[in-house]
Amino acid sequence: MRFIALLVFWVLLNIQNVGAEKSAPKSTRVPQPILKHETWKGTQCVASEEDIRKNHMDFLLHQRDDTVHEGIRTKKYSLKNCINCHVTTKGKDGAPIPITSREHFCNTCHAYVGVTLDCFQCHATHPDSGQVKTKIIDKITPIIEKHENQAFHSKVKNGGKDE
Amino acid sequence: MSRLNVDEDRRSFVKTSLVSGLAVVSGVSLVQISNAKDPGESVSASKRWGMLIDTTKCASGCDACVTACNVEHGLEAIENREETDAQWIRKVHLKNKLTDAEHDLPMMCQHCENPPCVDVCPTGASFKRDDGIVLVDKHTCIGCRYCMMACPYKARSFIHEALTNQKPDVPRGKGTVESCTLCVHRVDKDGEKAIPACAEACDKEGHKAIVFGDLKDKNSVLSQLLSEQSSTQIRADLGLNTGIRYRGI
Repeated sequence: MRFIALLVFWVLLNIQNVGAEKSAPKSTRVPQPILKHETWKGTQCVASEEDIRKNHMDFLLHQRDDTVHEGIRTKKYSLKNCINCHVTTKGKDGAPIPITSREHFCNTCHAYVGVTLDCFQCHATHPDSGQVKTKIIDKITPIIEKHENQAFHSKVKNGGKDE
Repeated sequence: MSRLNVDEDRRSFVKTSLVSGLAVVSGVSLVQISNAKDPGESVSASKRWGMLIDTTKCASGCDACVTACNVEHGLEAIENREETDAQWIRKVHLKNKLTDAEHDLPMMCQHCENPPCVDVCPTGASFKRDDGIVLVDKHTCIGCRYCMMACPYKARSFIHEALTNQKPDVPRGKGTVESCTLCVHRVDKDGEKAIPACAEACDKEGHKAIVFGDLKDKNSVLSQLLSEQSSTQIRADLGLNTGIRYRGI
């Protein structure tokens, strides 16, 4: 009896969904990264997938100091070179894919893991096509006080006297 | 050929000295040819980049240099709001009140040897590279604009709004300060053969008022021009030893 109970217990313990990795439904709460390997240039990245996935921020942060301060422009860990290889496709209307889209190479993973990307506040998000112009995206309306300056200038012209 | 009395030692000495002499000569000439910087190499203080601007050749009403700079770096202009536009280079019109002599000249960051902007920067973002180019490290810049106040030439601009579609060679972003970089992306690629966008446009217009080169290289076109005739710094009284020199004012 005890043996049968133990046997049943052991069987229950070892029931596994053997096809788990392949057939488990993907989480629908967080959109999975869209990685289109076929659109990237070349056959492999500058480092192995694990290495680059874990350390790309350190490579880039180190490289940027070298580039800005020393003028060292090697291509291996250059951000511009990452973009040149990985951001090769355009959006539906022929315009470059914006960084806010989940289809942009960098944003697709960064949105998934929830890590802020601030590189592209300054850096170009796509290789230069020469067609698209730099654009302001949150235009403000500064209040420029013109009449104050004019009053001062007229005072100076009159030799310090108010007119 | 054993009948010939050949001095083997002498023969090998002559051979060795010829070959090594040839190697030395070719090595020296190779070093002189390749002057563009290798990408993996740091810039060094053996060069100092500068420009000579001949105001007698600068045409009144022409702004080819300004347009070229704006296009090269993706500087956007907003209609009816010029006060806040980024301005890396501008045309200045001077008139001497006593003599009525008039001059036009382009004014940009003067790439001083003792830059006031570098002195005042609280974060060290404004810095002078070893080869003399004064730059802003946007990663470190906090946008305090102290450098804008300190600059005697009003060379620096502040970016007020978020941007997209920057040029890949020219990262620019909201909340940082920027100024003329002497086309550092071209300089790092082409070395002495580099030509900044303003100089290139001026040449194309036919005025050829802007000459770029290495101030420390006595053989460069720039150094030769500077040694032939006198040139002045703007606001030389400040003792900044600018890299941009003017002739004719």
